Amino acid sequence: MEFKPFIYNAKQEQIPVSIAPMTDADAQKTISAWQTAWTSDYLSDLRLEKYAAKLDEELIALGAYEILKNALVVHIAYMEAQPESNPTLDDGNPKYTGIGRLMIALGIKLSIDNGFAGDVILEAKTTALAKHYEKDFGAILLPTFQSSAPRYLIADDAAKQIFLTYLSE
Amino acid sequence: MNEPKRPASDAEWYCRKDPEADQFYEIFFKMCRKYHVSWCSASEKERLFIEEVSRVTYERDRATRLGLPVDSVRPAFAS
Repeated sequence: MEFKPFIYNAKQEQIPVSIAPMTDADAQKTISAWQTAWTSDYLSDLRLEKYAAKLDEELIALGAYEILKNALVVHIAYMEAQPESNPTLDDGNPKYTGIGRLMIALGIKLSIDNGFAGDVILEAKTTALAKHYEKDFGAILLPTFQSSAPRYLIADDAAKQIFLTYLSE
Repeated sequence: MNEPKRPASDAEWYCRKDPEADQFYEIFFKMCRKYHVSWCSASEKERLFIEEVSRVTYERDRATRLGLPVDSVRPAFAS
């Protein structure tokens, strides 16, 4: 069995993609049209491991992950799809779907590979996003720390189900 | 003609660092392991227990770091 990442096209067909560490060239591609310029200072923190999902040379998504060795979880710090498939930019007509689930699965894989058994955490900036994490990914709300943003945990069966999506012969 | 303005990036918000929050969650995950609690399947009572143990442990840790009296921390499950 192998981890075989994929997304869906508009016909709901599975499209295999590759995952690799983000390069400077990938980051440069985001400067003009993406919601975020991945060359920005926010994303240059050395604690963040950044990965790119690609379909041949087409940049599909980028994700920034933080390996929290003391908490034994991977923090999915930020992820973003290409403009054509970004819900904020695609006018409800995405070129590809299933990108968020894939980038979470990558976080789960990083967690497994770092010895954290697949546990990942992530934050939700909006209530709608929080509901999406709960409903579609089985995320569980963690205790709230003072006035900080809600943090969610994806672990155990929820993490397994997401990861199994991408396991095949 | 001007280009359409692209929506503001959320990266700054998501990538901001809050060392105190990180410290709290580090303690929280340690307490889950210490008491063999799987947060996803924990009962409400177990969650309240872990949450309160984490709060007290964090607040005592913070008081120590800041040179404040630890007895200023509200005891567990006290009103």
